Amino acid sequence: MKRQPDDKPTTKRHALHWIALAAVLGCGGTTTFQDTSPIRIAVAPPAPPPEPPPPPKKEVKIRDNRIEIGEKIQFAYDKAEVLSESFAILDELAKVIQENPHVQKISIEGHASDEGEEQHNLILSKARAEAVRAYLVAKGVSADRMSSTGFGEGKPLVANDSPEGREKNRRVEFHITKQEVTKEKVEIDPATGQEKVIEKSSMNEEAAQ
Amino acid sequence: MKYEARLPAARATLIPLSLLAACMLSGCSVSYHARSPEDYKQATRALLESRESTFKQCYEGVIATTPDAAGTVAVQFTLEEKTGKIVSPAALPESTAPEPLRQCVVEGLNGLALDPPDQRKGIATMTFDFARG
Repeated sequence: MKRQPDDKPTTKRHALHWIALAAVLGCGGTTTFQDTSPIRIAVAPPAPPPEPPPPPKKEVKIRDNRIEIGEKIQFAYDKAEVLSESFAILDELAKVIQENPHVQKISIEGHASDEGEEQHNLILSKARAEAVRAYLVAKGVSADRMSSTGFGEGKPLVANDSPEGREKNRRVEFHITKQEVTKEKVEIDPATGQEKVIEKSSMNEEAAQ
Repeated sequence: MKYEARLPAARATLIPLSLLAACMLSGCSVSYHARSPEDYKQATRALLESRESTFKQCYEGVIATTPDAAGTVAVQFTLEEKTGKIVSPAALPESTAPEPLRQCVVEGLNGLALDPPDQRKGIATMTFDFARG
């Protein structure tokens, strides 16, 4: 079959019809698209971490002729070097001493277990007591108010026959050797029901060394 | 000669008509949506946004173990013509979010379907941006 010269425009027209038909019907074909704007998925920011509980208050108590501390002072092994974990209790101790001027003299006493040479333990316990004193001086306690000494393994609290016992015997104690004691005599006022100081006296009490 | 001259024109008319009939018989009718590319994109985006909670859960699951996880997940998938179903979703390499998040997003896309579907197959590239706050 021979193509007639006037077929060309007709074919073109039909092709256009095809395209129009496909466009109207949308029949078949693929639509490709890309969304350049991201879909944002957000979640709440992390809650701030809860406030850490305040560290337990280090207990330092003045009891008659002693100062008791709530924990042991820790030293580097076989050295007269106070470990950082004991800084807090010593800071509290320094504060208590400064807040209680009636405590005039304190003896800082080092003790050791029976592990190792006796002489070595004696020297070490003295050095450790002195290290504590130096720390307290650095924290503002007057050097005149404190002395230090060591007893080595001579004054054990308990028998040195177990690790626990030996641990207990390695310690530093704080003894008040001089303090001002105030005595007050009171009576209840019958009119008001309130206490009334009728006599007050202060005296220095010095413990026997 | 005269008959031969008219044959191409007749054929040209007959073919589109028969195709139209076939098209209608096979379900390709004007009741289907034939969206423009922009409308197709917006409808697909709306579909994904309607499942925000699914993708949020993906993110929450990942940040439970990796608190600083964030980034983008670019996905490509096909929307089946006539059913509107998302098929063959895949995370693209340009994604910056951690792998578990990419996987979860891809799994979340499976089974979603555009309603009403489109007559045309769609090949979509979409991006999710995961961030805290």
